[in-house]
Amino acid sequence: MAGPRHSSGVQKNLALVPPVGTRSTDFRDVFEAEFGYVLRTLHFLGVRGADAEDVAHDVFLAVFRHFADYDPSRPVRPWLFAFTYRAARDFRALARHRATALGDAERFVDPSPLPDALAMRAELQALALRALDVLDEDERAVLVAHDLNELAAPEVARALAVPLNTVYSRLRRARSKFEAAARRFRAQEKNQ
Amino acid sequence: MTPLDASELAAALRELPTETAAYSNEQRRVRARLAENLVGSLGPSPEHPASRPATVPSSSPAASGLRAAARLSRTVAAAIVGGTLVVGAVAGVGAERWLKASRSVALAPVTARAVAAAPDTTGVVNAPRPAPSSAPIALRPGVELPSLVRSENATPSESSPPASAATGAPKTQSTEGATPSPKVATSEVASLSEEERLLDLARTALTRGEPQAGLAPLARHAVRFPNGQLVEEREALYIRILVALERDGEATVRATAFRRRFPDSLFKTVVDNALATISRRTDDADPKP
Repeated sequence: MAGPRHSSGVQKNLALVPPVGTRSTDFRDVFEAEFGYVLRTLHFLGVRGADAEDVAHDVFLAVFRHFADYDPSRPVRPWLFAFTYRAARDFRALARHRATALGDAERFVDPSPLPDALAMRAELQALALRALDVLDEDERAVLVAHDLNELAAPEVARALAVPLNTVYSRLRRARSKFEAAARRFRAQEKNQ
Repeated sequence: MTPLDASELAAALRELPTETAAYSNEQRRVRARLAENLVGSLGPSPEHPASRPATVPSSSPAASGLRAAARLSRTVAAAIVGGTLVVGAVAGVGAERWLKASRSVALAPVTARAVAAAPDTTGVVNAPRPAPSSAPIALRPGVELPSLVRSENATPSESSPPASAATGAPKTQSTEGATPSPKVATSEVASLSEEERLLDLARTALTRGEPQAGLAPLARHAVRFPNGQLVEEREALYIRILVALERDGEATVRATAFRRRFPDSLFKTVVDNALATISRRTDDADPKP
């Protein structure tokens, strides 16, 4: 899963720090270029709809405040991911948000009629988002960072401030739950 | 139908767009809100609804008196929203510096700010959630010289993921930061986080149209951090709140002191706007023949 990195281990991951995202010395450039990345990440992390805008705003405010910490010689996305994860976590930690954040995966994927192939794809995406919502916070963060945002495992470890081994063990658990949940949802759909 | 596996699911999700263009409406709205907060001018004013977040109640007792500031905010927001980002031509020196501030000025208090990256669970993003748009920016003015040792001081910890998340390189100092440990607390880190929290509370009160409620957190900040890292921001916020409460005399005294103490402040525009509001209010009250 997640391509060749799945079982590649530390050494390979270290060699694979991807040059994704912009490298900029200007906050505005980062905002303009990476807003979509942040918003999509929030969706993956379960913050959707109008909430996603609120939290994206908070993310970029935090990014602005800490922009001095950013090293433009490094890819910006792992750095942004850490802010995004934290903001999403804090947001979701508030119980009152939980009800709205969960269960609306469909809202993010356009349900309008599409050609068959596309419709199936959109359906699969909606299903996958619902399955993501089943994961624990920690597992979900690792899965999103590594498998969806394609950060290397050491980057994930740094962004989430956890040991590398923890990243791997969470990733294994997350994938397994993710898969099981998606299968369960699909089976339910068939039975309806 | 083949059994789903995690890689197939992930591949489907990765197809969802990451390009900012796919989220242009969302971006436009967030940009307007950021512009407002980063310019640091008004909280709530019905005069520039376009830049108000829909989720934040907007009514201020002083709204009617804050036209100049509203205008400034609107102009700058428009400039950003327009995507031009040519800020210099827009809104005067203060605002220009605000918007250019992002990198160079933020460098200022390197040690404090960068280390401040650390462990705040109460910090930047999660403090007073109710009005997410209302957090202040915690920039320091360019009083101290920027240092060149930025990222080494930063730590990937609870509150600010920053530098080390991006700098995979081995650290030469700031050892706590190199290990992914959430504890890393230094007193500077903790105090910055607390300073931000107090100012967030005050600003939230102001943007909610309850300026009175902003006084207590500011007073607490003043007692605990008389010369804190965010003292300029506190004073500027104080002045805005006093203006909102129509305590013009106190606001003027503070604004005058502010200008003397921080002649090149990034918050200069905020203070100027507050004074302009007062003088307009005075003019309205005593119309010249």
